[in-house]
Amino acid sequence: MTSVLAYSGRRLLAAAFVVWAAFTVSFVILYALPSDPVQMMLARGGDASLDESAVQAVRHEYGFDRPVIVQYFARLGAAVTGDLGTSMQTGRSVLVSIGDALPQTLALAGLALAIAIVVALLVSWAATLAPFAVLRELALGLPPLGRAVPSFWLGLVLLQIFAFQLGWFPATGNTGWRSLVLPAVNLSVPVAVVLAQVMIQSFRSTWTAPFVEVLRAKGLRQFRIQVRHIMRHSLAPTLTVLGVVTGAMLAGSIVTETVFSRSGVGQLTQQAVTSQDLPVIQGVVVLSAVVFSVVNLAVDLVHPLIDPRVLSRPLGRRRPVAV
Amino acid sequence: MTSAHLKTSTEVLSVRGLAVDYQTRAGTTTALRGVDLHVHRGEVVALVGESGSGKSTLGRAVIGLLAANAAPAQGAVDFEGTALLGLSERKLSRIRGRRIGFVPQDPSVSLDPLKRVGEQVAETLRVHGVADRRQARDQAVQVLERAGVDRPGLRAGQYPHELSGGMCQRVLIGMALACEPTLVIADEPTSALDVTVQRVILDYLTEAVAQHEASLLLVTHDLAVAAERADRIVVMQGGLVVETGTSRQILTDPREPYTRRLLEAAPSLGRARARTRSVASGTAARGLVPAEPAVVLGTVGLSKTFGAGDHAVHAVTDVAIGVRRGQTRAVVGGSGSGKTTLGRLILRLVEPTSGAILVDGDDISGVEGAELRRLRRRIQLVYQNPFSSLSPFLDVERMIEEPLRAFGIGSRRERAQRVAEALSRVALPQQVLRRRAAELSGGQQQRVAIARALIVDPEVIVLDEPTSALDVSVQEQVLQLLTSLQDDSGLSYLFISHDLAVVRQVAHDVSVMHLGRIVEEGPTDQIFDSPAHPYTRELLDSLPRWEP
Repeated sequence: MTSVLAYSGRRLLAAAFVVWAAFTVSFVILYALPSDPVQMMLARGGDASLDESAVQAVRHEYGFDRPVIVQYFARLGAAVTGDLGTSMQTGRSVLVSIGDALPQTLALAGLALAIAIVVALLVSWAATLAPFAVLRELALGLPPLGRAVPSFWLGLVLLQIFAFQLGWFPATGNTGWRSLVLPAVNLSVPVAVVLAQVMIQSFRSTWTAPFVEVLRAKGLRQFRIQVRHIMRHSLAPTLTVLGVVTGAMLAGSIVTETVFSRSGVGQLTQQAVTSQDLPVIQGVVVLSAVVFSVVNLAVDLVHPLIDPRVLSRPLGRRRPVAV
Repeated sequence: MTSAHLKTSTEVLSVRGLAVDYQTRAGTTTALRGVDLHVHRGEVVALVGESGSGKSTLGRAVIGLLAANAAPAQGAVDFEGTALLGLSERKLSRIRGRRIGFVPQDPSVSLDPLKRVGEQVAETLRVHGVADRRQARDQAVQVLERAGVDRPGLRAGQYPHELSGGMCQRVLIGMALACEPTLVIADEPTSALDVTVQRVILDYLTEAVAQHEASLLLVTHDLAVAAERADRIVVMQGGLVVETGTSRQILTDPREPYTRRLLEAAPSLGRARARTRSVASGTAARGLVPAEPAVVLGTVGLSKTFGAGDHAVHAVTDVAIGVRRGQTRAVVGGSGSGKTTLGRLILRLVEPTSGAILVDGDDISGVEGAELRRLRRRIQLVYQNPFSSLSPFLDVERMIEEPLRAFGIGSRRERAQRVAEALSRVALPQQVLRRRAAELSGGQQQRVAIARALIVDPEVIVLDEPTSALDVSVQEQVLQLLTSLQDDSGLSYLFISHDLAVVRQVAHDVSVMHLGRIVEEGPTDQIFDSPAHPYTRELLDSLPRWEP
């Protein structure tokens, strides 16, 4: 029992550290940028010749006139209490902006993930157990193909065929579940590729494990071995990779939401970067770190339930090697 | 048991003209070239041969468990009136586990590590419709109980990694017998187990099979085990059956030269044999020379603890041993006894927690840097598995030469000269120089490993189970090579082994290790003839016995 608590405690600490590190690194990078956000913000108003006192006033309002280290701790303190500042572009609270955009992106990412898992399962199953070598090779060739296709290009192709020619789904917008389908398919491809590759690798190596021979000698048929034994062995590496892929999905949502003109965190990020809206960018970075940490924490905590050996392994070797 | 097959002559398994090919990158390899085999009801038949003889392929071909690269088997396999060859997977799966049980070689990798032990036993019962979900759980516990698993109710809820190897093998044997099969195929069922549990597991296996009135096909490389357990022995070589007969006939009156060679090489039958060592030894006849040679390598109070606090493992505790110049000191013990850690400590591959390691009287336990490197010339290592201790990318010449390069010894030509010499010392032809490890046989690989150790003229060689990965006849040759090298150049060996029969052949002195401590030591004869410590006696008892 102590080992379970110790294990969970360590994982929790690691997750907190990642969030803090993301906040700090993003602070350092963003505030070390050579351009002056206040100048940019005021210039956007069309006011070319700026009054120095007005600039100072804005600087003071956002706290940019204070020493960097003071700014850092002030922002860190505020962030801990949930205050990520206000957008320099819209004047709205960063937390509220993200909160408004998040459900759209979560729906998109959730559906994309579900599609990716189903596709990856089908492909990896076929690549391992399809009755003919030709079919297996064919399935084996799909992940590299999927990886080779650029996401924005695939998005445009999907739009061209299913929105413009067939008219099955709307090309843009956020309304209704139909608007979700094409972007989700688009976003799911890179995720499905990674998952399928891990599953294929894991299925294949597990099928050659000695205990599988004993299962066959016990009189188990192929299907039962795959479902009851092999899949469970593949769950651990797949979940580990899933933790990593989540980060990639956030990044992918920027491209997807731009191509399909959807509102969401991706679009918010894209706009914030274009206009150097520092508080929003930092808010998105922290959000990504939080999502990433939570997902990985969940993966780490679920891991001992899948593989009981995790808790009895020596420190530093808790994750299976995912290829 | 011996007369069981005389009472009923019902044939359970009949194999005729079985042939199996494997497709490999190098082309087609024939594993079986037309083999006949018959097993009668209640009979124990041992399938004996060296690696590559096809014995395992035969055992697996019967239940259709050949590797994926095997071509469909030719011939006929008849089991209780059913032709098994060409049967669909669906029909075969009804026979596997239900009517033919299978016991694998290495229990530690043969159970699904992610499933509770009880579930895995219950699964066998359920797929064959012997029990429904609820019954299966209770019956699984009963199976474990009959298999001699302690606290079966608790064990059923545990995972394989929480059980010892011997315990896992009991589970697997119990599982193989759970559906009351008429035939059990056991593929080297104890060769991966610790010496002290091998006997117990074999006892259990043969008793359980007899109790179920099943027949047993025992695949083994060990003639002594076969002789001790089987009614009949089938000797295989190169995919063919060389000789078949009752155990008595095979052992007392072998007809084929190959069987005779196997018998001569089998070290566990060597109790009455003249010891290679004392016959070959011209110099330093042991015990007869009044002045014992000086100790070249020794340890004093050597200890190693891994981890700390509650999790501390005392791998080696307060060990004192000595290797005399030109002699062999054996360290024997079961797995987990700390003998391998001791070897690694002496080689300075792990740091001792306390104690001293003496080479020619100098403490080397604190030596570091350049001095430690110089020391490595004086103590060399030959490891258990020759294949994994040789680089797959280098050719033989490069591998043997490498220590010379590392120490910057000689010019290119001198090094080539020394490599050639080393090769002839280990009796390898010069043609192997350009080959890579994978192109050599197991015995040749181990000779390369020995040549690599010899090339820097060490005083002591630490041999960690140097022959346990080799076939018996090859094992014999490597042991002879080691003793003749010792006689010729006065090498000293620290010989780490679990195999008492081998130790008896080569060692002058023996230290018995148990739970990290030396529990007994003395001259080889004394240890074998009048063991004082109970653990030594346990080790000696675990040797297969066979009296004609």
